[in-house]
Amino acid sequence: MKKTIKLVSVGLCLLLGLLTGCGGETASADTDGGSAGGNTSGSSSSGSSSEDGGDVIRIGFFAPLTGNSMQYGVSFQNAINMKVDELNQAGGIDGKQIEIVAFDDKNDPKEAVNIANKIVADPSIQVAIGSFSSSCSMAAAPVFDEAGILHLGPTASHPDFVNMGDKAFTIAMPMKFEGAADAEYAYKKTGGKDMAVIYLNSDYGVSHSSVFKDAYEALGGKVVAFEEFIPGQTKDFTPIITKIKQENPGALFVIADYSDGANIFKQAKNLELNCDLIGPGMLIKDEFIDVAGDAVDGLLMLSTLPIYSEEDRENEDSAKAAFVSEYQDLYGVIPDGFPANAYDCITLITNMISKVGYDAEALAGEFRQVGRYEGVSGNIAVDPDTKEVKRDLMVYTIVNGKYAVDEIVPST
Amino acid sequence: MFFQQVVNGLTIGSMYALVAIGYTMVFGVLKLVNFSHGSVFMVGAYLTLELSLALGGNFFLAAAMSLVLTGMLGVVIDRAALRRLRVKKADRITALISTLGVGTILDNAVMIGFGSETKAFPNVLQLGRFTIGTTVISWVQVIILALALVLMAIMSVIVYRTQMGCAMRATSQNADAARLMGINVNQVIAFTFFIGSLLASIAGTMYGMYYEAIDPLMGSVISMKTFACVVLGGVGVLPGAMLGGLLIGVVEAVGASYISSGYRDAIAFAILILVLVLRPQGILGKKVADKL
Amino acid sequence: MNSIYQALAKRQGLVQILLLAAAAVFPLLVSNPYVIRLSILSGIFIILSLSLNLLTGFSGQISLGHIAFYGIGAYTAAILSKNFGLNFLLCMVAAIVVTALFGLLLGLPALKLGGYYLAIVTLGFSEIVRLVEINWMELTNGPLGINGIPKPALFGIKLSSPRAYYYMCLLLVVLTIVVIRNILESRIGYALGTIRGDENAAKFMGVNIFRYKIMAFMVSAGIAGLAGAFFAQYVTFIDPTSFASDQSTLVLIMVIFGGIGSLPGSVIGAVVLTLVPELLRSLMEYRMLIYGVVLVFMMLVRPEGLLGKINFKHIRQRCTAEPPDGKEGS
Repeated sequence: MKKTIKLVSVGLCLLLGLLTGCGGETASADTDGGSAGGNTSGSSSSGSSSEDGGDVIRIGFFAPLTGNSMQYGVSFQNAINMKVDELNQAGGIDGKQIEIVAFDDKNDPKEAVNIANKIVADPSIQVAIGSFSSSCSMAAAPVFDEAGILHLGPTASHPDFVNMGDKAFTIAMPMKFEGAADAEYAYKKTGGKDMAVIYLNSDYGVSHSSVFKDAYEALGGKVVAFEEFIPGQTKDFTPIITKIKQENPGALFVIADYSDGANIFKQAKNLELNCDLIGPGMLIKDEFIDVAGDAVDGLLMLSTLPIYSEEDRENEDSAKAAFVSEYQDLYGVIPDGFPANAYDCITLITNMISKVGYDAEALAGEFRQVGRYEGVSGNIAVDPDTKEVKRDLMVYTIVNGKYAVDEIVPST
Repeated sequence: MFFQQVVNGLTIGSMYALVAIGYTMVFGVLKLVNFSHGSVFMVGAYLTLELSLALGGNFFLAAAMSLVLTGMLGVVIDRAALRRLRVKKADRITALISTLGVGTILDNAVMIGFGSETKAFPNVLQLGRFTIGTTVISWVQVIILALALVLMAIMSVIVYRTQMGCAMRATSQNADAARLMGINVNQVIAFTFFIGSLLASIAGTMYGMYYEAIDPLMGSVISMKTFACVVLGGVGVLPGAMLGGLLIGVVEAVGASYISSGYRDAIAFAILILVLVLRPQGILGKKVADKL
Repeated sequence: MNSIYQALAKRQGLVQILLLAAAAVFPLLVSNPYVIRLSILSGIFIILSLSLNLLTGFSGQISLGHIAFYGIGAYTAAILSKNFGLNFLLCMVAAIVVTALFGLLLGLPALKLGGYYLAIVTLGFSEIVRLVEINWMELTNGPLGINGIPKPALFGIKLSSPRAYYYMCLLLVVLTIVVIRNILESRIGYALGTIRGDENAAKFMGVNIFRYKIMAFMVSAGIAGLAGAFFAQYVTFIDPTSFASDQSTLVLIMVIFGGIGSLPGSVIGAVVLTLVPELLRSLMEYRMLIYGVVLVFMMLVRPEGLLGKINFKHIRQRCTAEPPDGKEGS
């Protein structure tokens, strides 16, 4: 009996070794850096919770660090650790070191609530940053609201998020503004062509697409096809593309994550759907062009987040250049807009802490008064009453497999 | 548009059928719902991709190596996670949970090893496409359908015309009696797992080539559907798996286009439930008492 | 090991009282909201696995779609309390009734189907339910979920502190255990056992298969719906991601892990498998990998589950009838 168990465990280990060993060097480099930081700070969370107001400033952070959205969460963590290490090396804030207490929510709202409870159980934490998806951020928000902790969602673009508590903030433009801005630009650029929309059935996709549709029709355009798909169900979108082709649209607007988006554009090309291609910033990811290939040549990308390239290391904007080169030096990849957003979050918060101290109430008051802030992820304008954020619309075109800056439309 | 949708559906369906043929082999012999099959399918695709990168782009060699390695992975899964349960005569549902565990291990191992991003997959069969009227058909689609048919035929020959096939059928009917007849049951099951997983690797590679992209969750997405196809066609019946796959594919495509794209899977499952209520043993299945 | 079981079985009443007392005192000793929340979550999963065990363990009907009932219960309670301002107790009753009716609906094909044919039908059913939750915007608000579900209140007193939720949950767990145990010890339970053993034999012995199978489905669904109603009023925000089919397999795993056909097993399985991923949290990306290894290992070492095939009642009877000799293995 014992022998069999031994055999079995040896077999399993071999199997694991076989699988993890082959491709370890390709992807583990960037995740290792991130999770190592998360591990140490995460495990120490219970130990020092009693030393309230000691010589460290403890900030909660949660994002998907494993699972199918881990690349976003890990990049958030990388950016935040980068900023914090930098501050700590310069002596911290008022002599106090900053400590990030990191948690993994696997992009699962239930986990996010667990984590929120874990964070509020630690009285020394006044600020929580997270998560990646609006669902997770919104599931956690009531817990933070009840505990009176400032909750900052880097990418929580759900229109109701900021209403979930008087200390719930985000630096993402709510979908209602983004959808309208996209529609306005698309209408102007295509000259009001008949529009077909394919959208992801998620909180983001549903709100974004319905606002887009209403705004496009209000401008006098026609939305001839409006098709949804359920995420994680299929990689084959030919049925809806065929249906759309029937309507002869002049332009196709696809709201999807990079992976499904790449598949949709590729399959549209294979089915010979020839029209203007437009997509939101959600698609931006290096892998998007890798996977989609020449099917997305000429695609117009309407984004509220920037796309960086090698050239941005010598950007005229020195803050941006510093961020891009430092991030690349540390983690080996050019950052995209998501870590830039997280970087702005931590920078904003730490700036405010050094101004008004580490207290949720004071920080919330300060946040409302931010007004216009020029971050590495673009210009952010916070409405002092509604806490809603407006951002510039950055337009990129894909030319020969590269993003090229088209224009920047300032927020109104 | 209707013909285009049928073509779309047949392609989706032949992809399901490719996976389902391997699935139904194991299912038929062991009467086991193998929840790790989708993950094995994904591992097959990843092995092909990573090996071809490691070999400097020699795609066909990589695909061949992937076939063998994935087949061996199947044997290892059986040896490590299932054989002991057979010896103990455990409830079949225990084996189901064990394969669920194996699936979790494989999915997460690949995610840790190769990252969770979707990866571009080389399509070495750049054969272009042709149009009939307004219907666009690519040659890869034709090849996938043909390949599913050919594999189904080969498997039928193995199961019904060879000695090993005879042993497989005997094991399927009554493993104890088969053992008494001098059949090495463990060997037969290992062989079944080898073939089943090898087929999963073929399916994974074809899937990668057709969609030109793979990701660690591609297996879990397709495995539920494959399970449905196998049961719809009749468990353990090879042409049933083929028919079930094609049927569900076409229902999905036509349903998504004429009824609602949001209810695409719901339509497929509703048809499945309806068929099973009318014909509990599946379309081509034989009526036998079964207990999970 | 055997003597431990015997000792436990002999003092069953005492053990139960002690456990209940420990559970009742627990939140008074621990004030950490995270721990309380995990306990409540465990409680919800205890109810779910107990109800699934009634169906799968005691009646032999494999369900891969149990979470659908949980979801239906949650949405019923959420919609009734938010849109119609119904009291939380009424919401819970309504959730039980509605889900029991859906249980009836799913029970009908189960009359003709068994084994994995039934398994795929239940899986399909739960996918259809989830897609309705996602797509029926007017009713469920689709993927945006239902937000701001009223917290339970009785006679104007809000029952929304973590401790209040904890005791409510504990009450529901105890209620579930009592109901299921009474069912199992009545003639219904024996009838279900016979159906599980051999359906044809049961039929010839005059067991009304139709009635008992449908009953098992309805009771099991109703209890899961109750858990869903409580969940909705506890988290105050629900969306379809909480009711995906991987959650069904999770509950099934809890039942098998604890021991099929064992009530204490279901309780232990639910608690252990809710806590293990939490304890593994610091392992980050290796967490799910290890979870899978634990699962396979557990199945290999104890295929019948932690407490499977251990019948405390029989052990107790044996103990009182004859002096313990430990002849019977577990």
